[in-house]
Amino acid sequence: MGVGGIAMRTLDRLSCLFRIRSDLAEIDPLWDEVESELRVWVPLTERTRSDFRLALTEAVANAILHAHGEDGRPLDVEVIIERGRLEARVHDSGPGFVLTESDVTRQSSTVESGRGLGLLQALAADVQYLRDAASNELSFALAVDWPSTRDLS
Amino acid sequence: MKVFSETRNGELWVKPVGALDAAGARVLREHADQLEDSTSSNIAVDLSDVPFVDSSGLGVLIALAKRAMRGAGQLRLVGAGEQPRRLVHLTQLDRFFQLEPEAPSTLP
Repeated sequence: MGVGGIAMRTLDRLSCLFRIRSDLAEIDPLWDEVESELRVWVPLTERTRSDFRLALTEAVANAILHAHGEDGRPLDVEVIIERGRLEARVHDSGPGFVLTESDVTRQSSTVESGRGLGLLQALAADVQYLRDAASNELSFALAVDWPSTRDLS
Repeated sequence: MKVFSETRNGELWVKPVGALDAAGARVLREHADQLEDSTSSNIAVDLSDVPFVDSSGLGVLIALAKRAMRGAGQLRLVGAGEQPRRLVHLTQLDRFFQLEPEAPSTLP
């Protein structure tokens, strides 16, 4: 590339790892960091950005409330940007749970809690929960539409 | 999350400022609990400075609505932006919550 040229790089896959303490107060600052990276790398619509925030918030809150507790242990959140896909993986080392189909609208309208995973499943595709002896991973993906190359000039 | 409140014309106005996620919901719930002895059965929650609500935040709003209904009052959500409105729609709580566009609160 000569001086004044334009660098074009195919964005095949970009992974960003964020480590937070297992504390509900960490979720909002985590989103600030995730959003700042997304703004650099992905031209998302406001609706997609908002849905991703809600899905990510529910996934992280679920790990803090039901896996770790607010014990301050490290909790890793990986955001993966691929062509046509925005994925998040939340890793925890708690006792785990069984992920079942949950309909966010099936519950009574006056229930005050228990909507988190149902919302996640309503917003995202490919919601998975993987468990092994050492850790658990809750992942989800949103379909997105953006150009396959990014001008790096 | 900060929460302001005032009573005006017999209605309790509550104004959270910040994200109403699990941490923010906890602050709002604690603030609401301190107002349990309020004589107002009608409650208005000004959401004009709440850019984001998750399921925990929604849970606190439902709790406030129940509190209002126990006193034969009602809960109004005023000034909600696009994301809180979408959440209410996604959870099919449109008919449960009274959403109003304007936020005539005098709170900061």
